[in-house]
Amino acid sequence: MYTLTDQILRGIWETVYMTLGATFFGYVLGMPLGFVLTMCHKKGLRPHPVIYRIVDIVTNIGRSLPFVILMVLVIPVTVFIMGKSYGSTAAIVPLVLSAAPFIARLVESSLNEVDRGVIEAAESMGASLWQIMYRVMLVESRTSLITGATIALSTILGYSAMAGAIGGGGLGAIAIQYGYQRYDVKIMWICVILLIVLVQIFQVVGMYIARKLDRRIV
Amino acid sequence: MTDSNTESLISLREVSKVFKTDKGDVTALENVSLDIARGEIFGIIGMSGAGKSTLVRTMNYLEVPTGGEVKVLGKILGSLSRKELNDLRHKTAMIFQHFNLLMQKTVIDNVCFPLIISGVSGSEARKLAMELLGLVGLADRSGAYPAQLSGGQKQRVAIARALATNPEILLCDEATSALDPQSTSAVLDILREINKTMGITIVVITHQMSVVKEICTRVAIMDHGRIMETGPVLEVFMKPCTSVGRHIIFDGFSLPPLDTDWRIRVVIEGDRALKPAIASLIQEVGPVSILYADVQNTVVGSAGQVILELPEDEDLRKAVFGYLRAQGHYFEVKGGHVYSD
Repeated sequence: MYTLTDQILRGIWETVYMTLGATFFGYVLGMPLGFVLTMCHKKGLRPHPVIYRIVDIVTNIGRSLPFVILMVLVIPVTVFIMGKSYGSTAAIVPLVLSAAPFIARLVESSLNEVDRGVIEAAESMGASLWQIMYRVMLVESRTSLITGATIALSTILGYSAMAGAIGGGGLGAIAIQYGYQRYDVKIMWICVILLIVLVQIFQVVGMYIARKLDRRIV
Repeated sequence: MTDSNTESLISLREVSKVFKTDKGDVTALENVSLDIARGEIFGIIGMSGAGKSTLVRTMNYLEVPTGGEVKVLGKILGSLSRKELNDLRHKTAMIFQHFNLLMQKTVIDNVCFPLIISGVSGSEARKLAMELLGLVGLADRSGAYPAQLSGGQKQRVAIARALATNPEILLCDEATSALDPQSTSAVLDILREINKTMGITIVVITHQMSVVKEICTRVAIMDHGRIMETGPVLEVFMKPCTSVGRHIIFDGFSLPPLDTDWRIRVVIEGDRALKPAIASLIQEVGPVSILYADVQNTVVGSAGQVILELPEDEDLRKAVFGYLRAQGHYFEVKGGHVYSD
């Protein structure tokens, strides 16, 4: 039998693990989608109405599905990828699927902030599409991308608490278990405060890095 | 490469550009034909919205024309693959009104950028970039970020960056429009210098007459997507032959308008400028008053112009006209009517 402290420590670890894992894979999936949205937009570098529309609709659908429902819906996918439907690692699957469209939008809006003139200058120098994406858009939007990533982390952390409901573990699961099922409000509050602290840490660290990397400030 | 004097580096034939917008088609360029020769500093002047920026962008295919043919450095741009076009763009550099530097990169990394993307190694790129920064007088700011520089310094970095790939053509889109007079003249000095020492052909888009006057050899006047007139700077400045040209040039010089029958504009050029033309006129014909006079110095020579107010006397006017014609002066009266030999 675990002590309560052990459980909470484990909960913190599971929450951080799910959040970071899901954010990482969320970006693996969402970042390219964000680029596609920016590039294929009618004002982008490679306008393509059909591709834009498809990705646009897919991301909108992904974003409008409530996470609790998506989690249950994608259980077959989770089982297919992870071999099981419960546990923190398995919870990463629905988290990624839910976060990716959201991340795609964040990335899209960051990339759209890049000065058109700078992109045009790169084109005038004979930069290829990849060079523009990699050496211009990614570099110029990095502050905004990092700010976006801190927002993504906080949101995914919130989702991960829900993942507790279907056996994902983490602080959310403990809060529900003690607070909702056993009416132990004290433990619930401890979990809530820990979640707030985690969000704060992500936020502060993210903003610090973003600011440190921004060269537009004299 | 037959005759280097007549070799045209940039050649536009019947180039048109129509933008499709929600509110209907907008014609930005209409059948523009233009030849720019090696070694020229060619100016394109016009009001905002005349299509100048679109025109210069067809020369490196940042704007793909909807009609006509663009030939640059012997290649028809419309026939090139993306890769071939990118290769050609290493030879047709461009600078912009708002500099368009990478804000998150240092000055030297900005200058290295075109070299890195064309496959030059990092150390070699940095070496060349330092030389170019020396050329524009900013070697000591190589580690700074663009946000720490003044507008004039940013444009000089942009010039260094443009020169990195050793281009044959430099396209300047309102490159001095955002600069104060001092920075403007520093940038123009550099442009003149690189034209002379490196033989780079320069195309200058501007709405500032002073810029054309200071560096251009030939100029085209643009209005509503069309080229109204083209010629050597002095010729076009002194003797614009279209109403649009007259409007742009005379407004640019703030000339008093020829709005009465008693006002004339006399151009005094060549060796005639050395003789006391107006003084002799007054001595030999009669009294006239001088409303305005100036001398325009361009890189291709100088000429003077005087706006005279004649007494309201029909006989005297005839005499003045007769005298000016006999002396072979070019002069102009109300309504753009021109007398010249």
